[in-house]
Amino acid sequence: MSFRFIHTADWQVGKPFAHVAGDSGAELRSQRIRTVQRIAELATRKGVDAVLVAGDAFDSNEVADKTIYRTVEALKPFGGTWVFLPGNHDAALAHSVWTRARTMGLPSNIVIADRPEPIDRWDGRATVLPAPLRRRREVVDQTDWFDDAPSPDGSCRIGLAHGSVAGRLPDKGDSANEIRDDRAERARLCYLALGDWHGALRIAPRTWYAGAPEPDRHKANDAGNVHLVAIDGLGAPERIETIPVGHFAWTRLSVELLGRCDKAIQALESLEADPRACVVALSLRGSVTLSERNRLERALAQWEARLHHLDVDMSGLVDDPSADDLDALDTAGFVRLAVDRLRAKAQDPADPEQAAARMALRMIYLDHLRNREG
Amino acid sequence: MQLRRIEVRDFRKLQHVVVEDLRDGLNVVVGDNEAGKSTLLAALRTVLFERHRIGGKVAQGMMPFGQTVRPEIRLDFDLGGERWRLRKAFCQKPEAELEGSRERLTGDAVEERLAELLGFTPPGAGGSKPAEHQGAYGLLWVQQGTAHESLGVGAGRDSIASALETEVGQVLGGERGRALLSAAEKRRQDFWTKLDKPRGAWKDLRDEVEALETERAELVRRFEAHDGKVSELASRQDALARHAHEDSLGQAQRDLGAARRAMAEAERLDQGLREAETRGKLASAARDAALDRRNARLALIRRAEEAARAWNHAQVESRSVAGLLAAQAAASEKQAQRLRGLREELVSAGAQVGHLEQALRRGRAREDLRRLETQLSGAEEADRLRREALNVVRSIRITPATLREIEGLQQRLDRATAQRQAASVRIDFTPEQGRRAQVDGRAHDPATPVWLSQDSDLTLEGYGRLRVHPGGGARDLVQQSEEAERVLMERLHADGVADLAQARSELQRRLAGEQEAQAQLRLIEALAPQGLDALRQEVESQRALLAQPNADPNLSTKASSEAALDAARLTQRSASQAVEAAEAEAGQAEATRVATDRELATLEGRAAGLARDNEALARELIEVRSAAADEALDRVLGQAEAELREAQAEVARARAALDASDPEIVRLELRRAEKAEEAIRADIDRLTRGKRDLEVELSALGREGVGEALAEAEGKLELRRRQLLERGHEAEASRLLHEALTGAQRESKDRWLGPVRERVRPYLRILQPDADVVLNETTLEIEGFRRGDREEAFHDLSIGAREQVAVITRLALADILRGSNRPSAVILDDALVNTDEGRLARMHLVLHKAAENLQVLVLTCRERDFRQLGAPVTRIR
Repeated sequence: MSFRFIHTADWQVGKPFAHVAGDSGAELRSQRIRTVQRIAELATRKGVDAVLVAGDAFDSNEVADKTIYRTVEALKPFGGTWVFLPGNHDAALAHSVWTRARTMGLPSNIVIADRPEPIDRWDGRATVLPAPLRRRREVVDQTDWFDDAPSPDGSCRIGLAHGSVAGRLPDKGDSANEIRDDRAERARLCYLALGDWHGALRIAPRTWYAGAPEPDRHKANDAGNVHLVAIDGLGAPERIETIPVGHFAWTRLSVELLGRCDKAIQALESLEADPRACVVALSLRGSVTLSERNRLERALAQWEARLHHLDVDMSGLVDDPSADDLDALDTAGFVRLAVDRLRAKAQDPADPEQAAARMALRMIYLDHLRNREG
Repeated sequence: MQLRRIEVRDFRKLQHVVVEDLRDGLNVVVGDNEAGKSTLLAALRTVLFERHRIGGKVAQGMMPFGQTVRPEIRLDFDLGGERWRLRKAFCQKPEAELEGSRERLTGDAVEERLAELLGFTPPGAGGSKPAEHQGAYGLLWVQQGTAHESLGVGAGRDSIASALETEVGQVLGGERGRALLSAAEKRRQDFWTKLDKPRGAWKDLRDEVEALETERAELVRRFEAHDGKVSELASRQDALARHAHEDSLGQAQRDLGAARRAMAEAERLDQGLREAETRGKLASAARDAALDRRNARLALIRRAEEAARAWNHAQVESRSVAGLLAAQAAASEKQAQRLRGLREELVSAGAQVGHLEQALRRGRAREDLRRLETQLSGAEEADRLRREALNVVRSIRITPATLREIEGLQQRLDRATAQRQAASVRIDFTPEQGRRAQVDGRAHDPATPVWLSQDSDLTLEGYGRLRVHPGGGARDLVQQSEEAERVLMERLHADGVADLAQARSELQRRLAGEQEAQAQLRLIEALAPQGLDALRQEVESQRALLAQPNADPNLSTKASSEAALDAARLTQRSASQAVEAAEAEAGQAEATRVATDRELATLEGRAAGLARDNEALARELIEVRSAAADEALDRVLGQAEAELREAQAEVARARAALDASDPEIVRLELRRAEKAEEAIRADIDRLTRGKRDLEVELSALGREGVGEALAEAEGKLELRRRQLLERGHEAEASRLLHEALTGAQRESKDRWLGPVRERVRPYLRILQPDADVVLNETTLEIEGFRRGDREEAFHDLSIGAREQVAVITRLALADILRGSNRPSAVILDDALVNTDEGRLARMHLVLHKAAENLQVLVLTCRERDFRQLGAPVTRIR
């Protein structure tokens, strides 16, 4: 009488990652569909009854037809029931990815839960109660109807919803698409499968976010997994297995430098994941000498090649040319005169060209090094 | 380097020339242009800078024209405190030899050592060119004819630069500085065009960001349009669902069925009403016809009665008018008789008046005739007298004017006579009784004396002849006197008088005649104002009037007085009035009679007509009554009216039924139901069609993936913007760096050229106070010449000024080289040929000043110019 299913959400297939240029960006895009396929394969391997997708399977209702098509193709490895709940990104509007998917001729194992109606496809073992969003922002709790929804006796009542649980999520000032935190209890649910929050999280009794299976942002939350959920019977506690399926590791590194750049390089070296699957945002602060800066830039150029994507923010990093730096340039002649003037500008916070002067010093220093190296 | 001795053999035009004893300071070498002083300079260059093995054109150029010889040049010079002897021979058996105090070199080693000693770059191949290969000597040794050109610093620049650097330090930053500057320039050029516009990758990035913004805006627009369409689709779907839910179309169709049924009932009632109305109209028409017939009958009866009455009345009338007419005819006859009597009286009264008037006229005519005849006879008498007087006047030819002429002639004659007499002999005769005397044969009254003015014969009776000879001179006077007499006599004769006295009396007579004629004329005018003929005519007409016979011979003239005439006229007037009154009365009476007569005729005519009418109507009445009796008509009418009342009642019943069914409401309801059904159906059709269209459109848009494209464009834009910002910073930095470097370099160069200006100034002060030479800091060429605040471009100066400035600058550069322990002689080959005398004297001072520290060789063809220079002179030939 047990019911096992995979709870996942927030695939956001079609997300463009356009700020990641070139092939790396394209790779991030196509990986999302590969991860979907990986979920389908996992479902087959685990022999689950269903895969419940708690909203935002697509990044928007306006993704290209071919994106929908490729996603449906990726579902094929699992022939069991897929239940898709429209979320805020792919709300069940008059015209949506769902209406478009239907016109493409979906296989019968794919259920689009775009109406608040119980779904019973498992011989009375379980009843899925979906709370589809039919607007991007619903002001009324769409799960209200769960409380009085009928279900066969002895059937596991499983809620499927998309939104934020009132007052429980950090960083969520948004009051749209709110869900009561006691919905599972009020509606006698065995499990309330939620989407919208990209990290895996138990937010209330029997109430879970599965998180995004493929991370898509530098946020230190537990993304990259699906939940394998087992309900052993009515009233039995849910058993959750968190299974990683994500490919890319999105990491944010923040390092403060003082004169030398070693700490930045060390931070990159200490990355755990395969560098080729790392999408790193490196934020540097503090100050470095010109020679160190040169070293840092060479090192970063190497890391850029090794990592899938490296985004360096050096806006907080200041050049602090040492006396040696400048002496290396020239001790006399007009170059020294120019350098002294640029340096005075670089050190004067009131000078509108302070930043440009810093960069100019960096440039001449690099030119000098290059000339020296021939 | 100081030159000491030069010996040239077989070099170009120089066969053998030796210039020796050259001293420190100024030296002058004089030679004509043809003597080869310029060739001497060429030889000097050749021995120092040309490789002795040089061949080809350069070697050919050393040969004297048309000869094959071995040019050889020897040069002794001091350098670095040592005396050096250099010898080179060219072309055939080339040789080189250099000998110093501690060394002696031959062959190619000479060339290397020379380059090292003098600091020049030997040419790789071919000849040595001053600006390229001869270092500072290219600059300091000035060839003839080039002194006013630019310095041609060329390879000398390095020597001067190094000399300057030893003096002011490495201000230029050396090679490394130049490399950094060129790197900075390249960086800047990566970002900026010459006009400071963005370029290259940066510009491409800016353009890309701009393009992406446009693309994004377009995608946003399409995305929003897409969103709008989705909302539209939703609203249509909602509307359709509402229609289905409310079964609005079914309801409308049901309403329409009911309305149509009600309408059919209303139409049936309406039909009934129309039929009843038709029947009513027919009954009404039948009643009207019966009524018309009966009324026509009544009218006919009334007309027949009236016609009978009118006929009777007309007969009575005719009769009374006929009586009246007879009375009026009698009265009219009486009036006519009276009128005739009165007319006769009027005629006799008129005749009486006529007679009286005629009698009176005759009486007056006779009196008039008498008076006229008297006047006429008087007038005729006066006329006769006037004519007589006029005849007298006309017979006299003397007029006051002619008299005055005659008097004039007389006076002339008298004067002439007196003169003649004075000059003549007066002979007074005193004959004896009865004795006569003759003068020139004519008898002469002896009582009168004779004046003789010519020889004359006097025959004295009883005595005989006596001839008198008067004295001379009287002859002309006699002629004048005779002429005057002859003129007078002719005049008198012409006027018909004998002498003056007669003429005067004739004139008196003439004047009297004229007065008489005038007086008679006035008398005629008084008697016959109209003229005599008019008077005679009037008399004739009066006589004719009286000659007519008298009309009433019985009427005495006495009885025919004015009073009688007046009385007769009164009688006539009253008779006339009586006739007029009687005529008026008779006319009136006749008119009345005629009118009455006409009235009678009319009355009789009318009476006849009325008689006919009466008869016709009576006949018609009989006829119609025989067809339908009056009672029968009344009966038919009563029946028709009853039928009409029945029909009207039926119409009222039908209308009441129709009104009770309220057809307007039924009609409106039907219209409403039809419109409602139509509108709902159209709405559903429209919504369905719109929904389908939107679905088709949206699925097409979906294929494009606008949302995906937009998100991608936004991500890309953000990335590019970040990159652009970074690039912008780099661009600014590259510019700042370049500006900082070039600014610093410029300032350094200013410092660098300082020593040159310092050296130039003392020389320039001699030539031109307050002046300065402007040099290019890179090429060291002269750019301009500054006098006070005014700067002129070098090439704008006069040739003379140019050569002076150039010579001074060369001297200053030579000073700088000397300061860096590279002293060099300065050679000027006719370098001041364009300088005027005054300036030349100053330039001599300049040369003297330069010669304090430098060896200066002046090659010139103008010995005179430099004789006063105060320097040893060597002459070449």
